Amino acid sequence: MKEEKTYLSSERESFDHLTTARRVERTVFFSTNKKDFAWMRENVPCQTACPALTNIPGYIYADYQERYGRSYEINRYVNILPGVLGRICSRPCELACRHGWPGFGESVAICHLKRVAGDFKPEGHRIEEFMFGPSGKKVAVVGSGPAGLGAAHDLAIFGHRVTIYEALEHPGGMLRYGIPEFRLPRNILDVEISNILRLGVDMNAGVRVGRDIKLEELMKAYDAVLLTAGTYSSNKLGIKGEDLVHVYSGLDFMMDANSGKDVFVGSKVLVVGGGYTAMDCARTSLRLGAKRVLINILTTEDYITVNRDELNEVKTENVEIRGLVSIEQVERSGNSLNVKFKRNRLGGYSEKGERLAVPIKGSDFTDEADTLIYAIGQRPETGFVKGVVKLEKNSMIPFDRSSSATEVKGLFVAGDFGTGASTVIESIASGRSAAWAIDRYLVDRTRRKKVVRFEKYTEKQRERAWDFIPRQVMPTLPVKERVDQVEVELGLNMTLGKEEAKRCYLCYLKFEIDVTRCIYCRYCMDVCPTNCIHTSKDVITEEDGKQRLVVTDRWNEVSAIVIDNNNCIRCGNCKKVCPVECIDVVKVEHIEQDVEV
Amino acid sequence: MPKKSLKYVIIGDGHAGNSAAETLRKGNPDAEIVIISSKPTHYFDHSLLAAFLLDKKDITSLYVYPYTWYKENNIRLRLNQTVTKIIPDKHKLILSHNEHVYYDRLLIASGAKPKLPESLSRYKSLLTVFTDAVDALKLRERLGKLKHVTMVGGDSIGLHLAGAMLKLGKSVTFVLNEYNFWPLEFDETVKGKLIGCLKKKHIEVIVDDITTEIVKDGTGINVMTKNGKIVKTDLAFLTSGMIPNIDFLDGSGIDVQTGILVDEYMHTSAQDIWAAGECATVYYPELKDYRQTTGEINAKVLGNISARNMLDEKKVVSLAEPGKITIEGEDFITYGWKGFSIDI
Repeated sequence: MKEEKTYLSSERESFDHLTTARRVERTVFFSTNKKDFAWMRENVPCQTACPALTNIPGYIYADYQERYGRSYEINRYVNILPGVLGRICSRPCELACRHGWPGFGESVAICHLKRVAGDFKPEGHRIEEFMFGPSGKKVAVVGSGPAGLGAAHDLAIFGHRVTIYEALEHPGGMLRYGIPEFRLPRNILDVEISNILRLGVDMNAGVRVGRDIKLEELMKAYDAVLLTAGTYSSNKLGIKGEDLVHVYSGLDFMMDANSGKDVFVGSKVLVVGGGYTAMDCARTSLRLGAKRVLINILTTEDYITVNRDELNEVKTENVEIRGLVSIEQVERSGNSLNVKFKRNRLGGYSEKGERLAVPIKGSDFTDEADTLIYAIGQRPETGFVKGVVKLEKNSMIPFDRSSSATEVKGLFVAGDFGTGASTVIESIASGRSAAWAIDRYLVDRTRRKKVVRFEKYTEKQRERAWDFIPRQVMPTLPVKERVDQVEVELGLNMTLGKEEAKRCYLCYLKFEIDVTRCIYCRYCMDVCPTNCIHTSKDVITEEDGKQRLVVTDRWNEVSAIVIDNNNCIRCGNCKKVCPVECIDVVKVEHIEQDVEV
Repeated sequence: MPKKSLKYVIIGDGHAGNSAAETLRKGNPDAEIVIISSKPTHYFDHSLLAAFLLDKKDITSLYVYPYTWYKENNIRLRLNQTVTKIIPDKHKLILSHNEHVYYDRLLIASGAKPKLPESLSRYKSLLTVFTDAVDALKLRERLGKLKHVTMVGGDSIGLHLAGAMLKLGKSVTFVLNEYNFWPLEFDETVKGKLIGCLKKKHIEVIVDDITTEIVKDGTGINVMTKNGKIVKTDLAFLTSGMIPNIDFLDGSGIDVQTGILVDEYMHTSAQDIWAAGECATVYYPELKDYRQTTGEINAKVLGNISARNMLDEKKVVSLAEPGKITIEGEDFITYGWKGFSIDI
């Protein structure tokens, strides 16, 4: 039986025990000083790594407090699809997480905790939206993938009349047609899309711009047009035989499988490529009846983009990964395909920092398969834009990255359609940023801005023991039960979720020593587990706002004892031992705010 | 010929390391050769390890060479010293006691360590390993108190150990599953033969099941499986195969796949560093493929070839003679082992 949820006063409303006078001392302060943005960038690595700048410590703390609805909303402020991203995000935040730094253990399961918020938000949970009055302007959004949806949401909030044109039968773009259902159940996607459409966004699904309606017509009928048509053209292998029957591009294969079409896979499938699409193709092949599936990658597992959790699931399902091979050509042989490969050795690094592979001379070998799927990247299909904008040599649309604007007045670009394939969270961020730019274009002023919010932190400190809790493992379906499209990851339950939430250092807390009260006893330095408190002679602010400590161990030079927040794990030991209570803790958050006029 | 004053450092004191040291000494009588090993005992014959439990012989009876051999051959043996980091750019190793050791040419022959399945990682302290002479010494002292032992997984160390345990009058249980069997493919034939053979020896065999939990129970241990079996035992051995022992390479920039990636000349991706034995993933031109090798024969051959390349001979690697494992009178080919029979 579930226990009745009660909050300790110190956890929920930590001011109740204070006198009224002390309670009004609690002030909130906002800043746009670049020094404060620089502090955020350096000190909250997860939020900095998130393309949408999600307030990660904020929502994890809400999870810890079992305020799942609040946690979901903190996500939604910047990421309109928390339930979706809580499953399929590429998780750049977890690579940056301070808990994963050398010596500190494993990163926090940030993504799984996002799903916890989505899974346990109360029934009939209230969605928060901050609507501006109607502007009388009309905007067309071409494409309803994450970028289009992100943009449509913010444009609707700004009071514009938004119409989405979606070429496929249902909205969602790659979320619906690229990602398999066993990783992203469609009911979750549907609910989160409908939360956007409910804001008064019109959805024209099954209408392909360029075929059913011309871009020129949209340009005339709307005050602004945003192109977020994704990347629906597959990169080719450029080898002999890639047009044979039963040789698919990963995108075609996934789109057919996700649309419920009958796709032939046979018993042995070779997949070429090391991205998420390749993994999805391999796992989908198994569900379509393949007995043996091999993913062929150019380099080794260390250099592919897929995260460890996903790779483990792929291997758990008995998909084999063959590293260090290059595909050479494909031939038909009776009913099956003969696929020729060469072995590789690792080479240097490309300009983009990708690891290179070099084929080994004379290492040719042939593998037989029923089906070959190549998933080696995608490009935008920009044909329908040609008459309106002059394309670049590589068929991409020239546009200004900061304002999303093309050279044509009123025409904007966002998401993968502008930049080439990226991640879902990057696309949402890109769509929203285009919406802000379009709003500036339409009403000729800035109505939202990013600020740093400070609030005195008076709640209970974390316990040091929480730093040693191991990362909670995502429960999954047993392999035997992984049939059809049943979701594989079962989600952390509330208990596991709370344990995981405890692990977060809450890096948005800023520990500062008040020099005017400090008596230089150095007790704090003695109890600090990471040696992050230093005797220093100066703090230098660099041009980008970043601050640098000048540490000294000569007492005659010491001007202050300073906490280097970058190495601080917010354990609170220093605060506990300070005899004069000179260590202040402030919660620092990166938020979006209306520009008052 | 390389210049006389070259300093060769070998990490690992096993088959590969010693075979390389011997070859290096023959090829360059004046070179400085150092073997660094984290183990307190030195190079011994693994195949005698299980038999060592049966008699009262001294640990030195296991040694392939007496200590004096190293002195005679002017090979410096640094035992009980652990390499924690390699810095290829500086031709430098860092040991756990913070000493910096420089080399001209380095051979990594750090071997393998017992594989701990992820699902059992939290029970590490309750599992006993049996891979080196120290393990054997410790186990021999405890033998009197043991009545029943359990093998978690079914690798060849487990099979040898089980043989010795039976001779000592202990009863044995095997929890076998395909993920843990090694160095053979665990197909239906092998599985059937193996189960038959073990059962004939009155060994209890649990198949198609996985150990999920290990708990302390008084002085003994309970090994629990997924299908609900509980094995009450005195000692649980971790015998689930081996994985390359290469954790100390983190941050060195040396390329790894499962083991250290080496080309057909046994050279790693870092200048002046070679790798051999169970820690290496070797490209074999005759197979047109990479292979993770196991076993004594491979280790010796690879150690030798590495050393010859370290002496600038340009020797291409080739496969060692296959061995065979006899189960129930039937031979199964295995690569890298002299071969053995479990029908004893």
